[in-house]
Amino acid sequence: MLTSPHLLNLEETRIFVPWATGHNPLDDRLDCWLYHSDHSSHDHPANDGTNNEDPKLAEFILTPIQKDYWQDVWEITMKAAEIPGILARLTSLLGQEKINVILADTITCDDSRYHINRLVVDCLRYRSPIDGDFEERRTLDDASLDDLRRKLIVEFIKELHFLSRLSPSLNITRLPELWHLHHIRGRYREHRLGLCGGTVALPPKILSELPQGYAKSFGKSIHELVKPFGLVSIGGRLELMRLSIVYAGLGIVDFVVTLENHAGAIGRLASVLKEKYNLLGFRAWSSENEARSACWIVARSKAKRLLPGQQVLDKIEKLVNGHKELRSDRPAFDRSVSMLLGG
Amino acid sequence: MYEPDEFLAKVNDKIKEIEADSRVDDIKLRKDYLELLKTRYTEEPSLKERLERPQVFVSYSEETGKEYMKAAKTALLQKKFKVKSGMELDGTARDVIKHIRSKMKPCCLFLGILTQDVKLSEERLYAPAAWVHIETGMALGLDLRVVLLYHESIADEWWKPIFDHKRQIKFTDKDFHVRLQYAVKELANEHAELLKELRGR
Repeated sequence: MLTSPHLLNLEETRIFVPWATGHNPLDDRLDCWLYHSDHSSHDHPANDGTNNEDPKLAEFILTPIQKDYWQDVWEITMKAAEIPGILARLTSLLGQEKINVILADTITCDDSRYHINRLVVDCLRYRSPIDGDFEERRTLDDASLDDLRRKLIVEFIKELHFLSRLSPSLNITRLPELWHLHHIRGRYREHRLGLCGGTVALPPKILSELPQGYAKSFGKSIHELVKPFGLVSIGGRLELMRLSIVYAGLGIVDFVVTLENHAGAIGRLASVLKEKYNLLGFRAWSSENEARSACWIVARSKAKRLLPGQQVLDKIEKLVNGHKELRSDRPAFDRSVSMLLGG
Repeated sequence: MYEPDEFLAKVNDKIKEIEADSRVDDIKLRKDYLELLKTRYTEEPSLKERLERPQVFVSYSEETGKEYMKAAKTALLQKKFKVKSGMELDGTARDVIKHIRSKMKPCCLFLGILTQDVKLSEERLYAPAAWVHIETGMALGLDLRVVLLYHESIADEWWKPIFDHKRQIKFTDKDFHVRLQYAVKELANEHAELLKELRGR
C-alpha cells in the first residue's frame, strides 16, 4: 500500500522522511538507509542492462530499517489502560521471547485513560511451535504471529482496550512492503544517509550519474534532463518511502485537471489518458465545496520518440479538452502547476 | 513465556485474577474473551484448515538426521509447506507423546527420514531411530499422508513390512538432495489429491 504521491525537486529540496517529526531533537539521530537495486551490468540503477523498449525508472527505497531485518520485521500495536509500567511489561515480555524492538512510538490518549503503543520489532531470533522460526517466516508469505498475539492478550487482558466484544486492541502484522521488496528484488546497494532536521538529501554522486544511466536506457535524444525530480510516495506505514527519479525530458509531465464531481468522472479521465500515457502518479480530491474533483497527475508519454515536456502537455491538454467522453464532465486543464516544467 | 500446555493454565489463572480484582472494567467481556481463546486453542483444526495451510511433520533422528532435516525443511518451505517436528521438548515420555500429537494434529502430511541410527550385526546394515517409527505410526493413526525417505543401508525388515504399501524413496550418501526433491514432489501430489478429495465431497 502506498499513499500521498508527490513530486520533489531533488536539487533544491531535501526529502522529509516520514518517520521523523522535524521538531524533535531525536530526529538527527535516526537511521536512514537508502537502497537501490544492484544492476550488475551498469552502475546506473536507471539502466537494467537490457534493450528493453520500455525502460524502467530508477527507484530508491528510504527506510529506517536495515535490509537484514526486512524478512522478519513486524508491527505490534496495542491500546491499553494508562497504567504506570505497561510499556516496561510489554518490552520485557518481548525481550524474553528474544524479540528486539527497532522502533517504538507510544503516547497517552483519550484524556490519559489509555496509552497507544506502536512497536516495530525484529523477530529473527524468535521461535515458537506455532509461529515457527525465522527460516519459516521469511519464506512464507502468509506467516503470522498468532501465538505471540494470543500470549500478549492473555498477559494484558486486564488492561486492554476492546474495540468490540471480539476485538481487543492488540494486533501484530508484518511490514509487508519490506518483506515483499526483499523477495522481488535480489541484491541492493546500501547507503547510510545522515538526517538533518528530519530531512535527507540524495548523495550527489547518484544524482550526477542518473542522467547518464537514463541516456543509456532511453536513447541519446533526451531533452530537459536538467532538474531531477523525485516522485515520492510513503508506504502503508511510515517506515518505507519510495522515490522514483523522473525528468521532464523523459516525456514525463505533471498537471491538474478538475472535473464535475459526479460518479464515473475520474474513471473516464483515467480511461481517456491511459490510451497514450502511463499514469505514474495520481491523486484526486473533492474541491469547490465538493462541486468539482481536482486530479493531480504525473503521466509519461507512451510515444516511442521522446518529446520535450511542453509538447507532451500540449497534446494532453488537447486530448482532455477535446475528448467527447469527457464533455459532460466539463474538464479544466491546468498546466501552470507543473513542477516538472517549472510551474 | 510458557509452553503450550501451560497456556491453558495461564488463562485459567487470569480468569481467577480478573474475578478477584474489583478495579478491572468490563469483567464479563474480558472473561468471555479468555474463554473464547481457550476454545479456539483446544479446537481441532478442520480438514479444510489443515489443507489450506498445509503443514508437513518431519520425523528424523536427532543423532544422525539433523543435516537431512535441515535440507528437507528448506525444500519444503520453498514449496510453501510449513514444517513441524517433534523436537524441542524435554520431559517424560508421556509428555513427549502429547507434545508430538499436538504438533502433528494440524499437519496433513508426514515425511519420515530413516537414517543409520543403530548398527546391526549384519555387515553395513543399520536400523533407524525408534522415534521415527513411533511418529510414523502416530501419523498413520492421525490420517496424515506418509512419505518415507530411507537410507540404502537401512535393513529391509526395519521398513519394508510396515511401509511397503506406502510411498518410500531410497537415498544414498551421494543422491540425497535429488531424492529429497522426489519426496517433496510426492508430498505435493498427496496434498493435491487430498484437496481434490475435499472438493469432491
